Amino acid sequence: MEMVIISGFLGAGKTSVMLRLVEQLNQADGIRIAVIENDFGKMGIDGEVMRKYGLDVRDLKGGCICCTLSANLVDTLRLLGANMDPDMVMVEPTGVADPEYILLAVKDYTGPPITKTRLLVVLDAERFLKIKRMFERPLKNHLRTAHAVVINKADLVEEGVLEEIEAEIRGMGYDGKVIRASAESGDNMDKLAEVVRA
Amino acid sequence: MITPDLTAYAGRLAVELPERGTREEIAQMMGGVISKVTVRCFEEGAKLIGHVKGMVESEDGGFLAISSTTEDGRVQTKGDLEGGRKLQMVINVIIYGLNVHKVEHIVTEVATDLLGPSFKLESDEHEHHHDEEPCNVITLK
Repeated sequence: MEMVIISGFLGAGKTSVMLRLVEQLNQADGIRIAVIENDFGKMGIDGEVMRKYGLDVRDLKGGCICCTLSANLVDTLRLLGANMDPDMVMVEPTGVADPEYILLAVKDYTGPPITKTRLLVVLDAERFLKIKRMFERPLKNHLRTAHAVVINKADLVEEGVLEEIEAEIRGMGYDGKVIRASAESGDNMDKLAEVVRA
Repeated sequence: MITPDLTAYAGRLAVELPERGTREEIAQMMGGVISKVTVRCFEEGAKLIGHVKGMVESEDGGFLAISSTTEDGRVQTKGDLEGGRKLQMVINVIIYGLNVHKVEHIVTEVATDLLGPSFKLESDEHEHHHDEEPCNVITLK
């Protein structure tokens, strides 16, 4: 079982990225994917949306899997591994999660082995600079754990803004892969799927 | 990022239209609610919108997911909905800089303004400070 964590600030487009990614992976590889959806609120929306698109979703609501619900995440992974044994589990944390703590929590997992973990960080091209001004330190934590960064909503901003965002994240010490994409239009989601497959 | 000024609000709006609406009409009406809530939150002093999201479901199982994150209240809409008359929308607001009662007040105000008097809102954050007046909000607590 492989695990893909799709992290990123609130409103970055994590759910849309996940839906596109699942579409890509299902079409090309036919792999069986389960989703763990973590909503900060008590009435979740994203899990319901994914279910409407036909995904197999486990909800963890009313807290965050990086802290208050970390034990629930481990338990849900164990149950998924034991009962469904999917090829891949995609995890969407809340937009306030610290992915470093999610990776730490998963170390407590005991079940069918997780053969590969990928952590994708989704950034909102339209709001990145404002979010960076308010939350630079947590943003650095996100980038430190990322296997790839997706600059989502790239189609909504000028080329110069994309260059500025990329320069900013390089300046924050991130030296991995950066994919400019649009989950809305599907642009470059195939490149993201390649990262997940690699 | 969990900070002291982070607020998460959730409510469930129900509205019954006089006659069946088309996808476009419903998207415009419910998208209008999401958009105006976002704009009003900024007007009332929100520092940053995490997201304002809604999921609309009709009586025949169709759905629309609507979200907004920007100060102009621009919405993105996706989903498979042909039309409907009895509509429910779960609304989530995650925001920095406004308290939950302020957000709840904004949602109620916008729903009253855009949906008319027939809507119902289930919310666990409503302060019944107007017990003598008619109220569309059902408190879940």
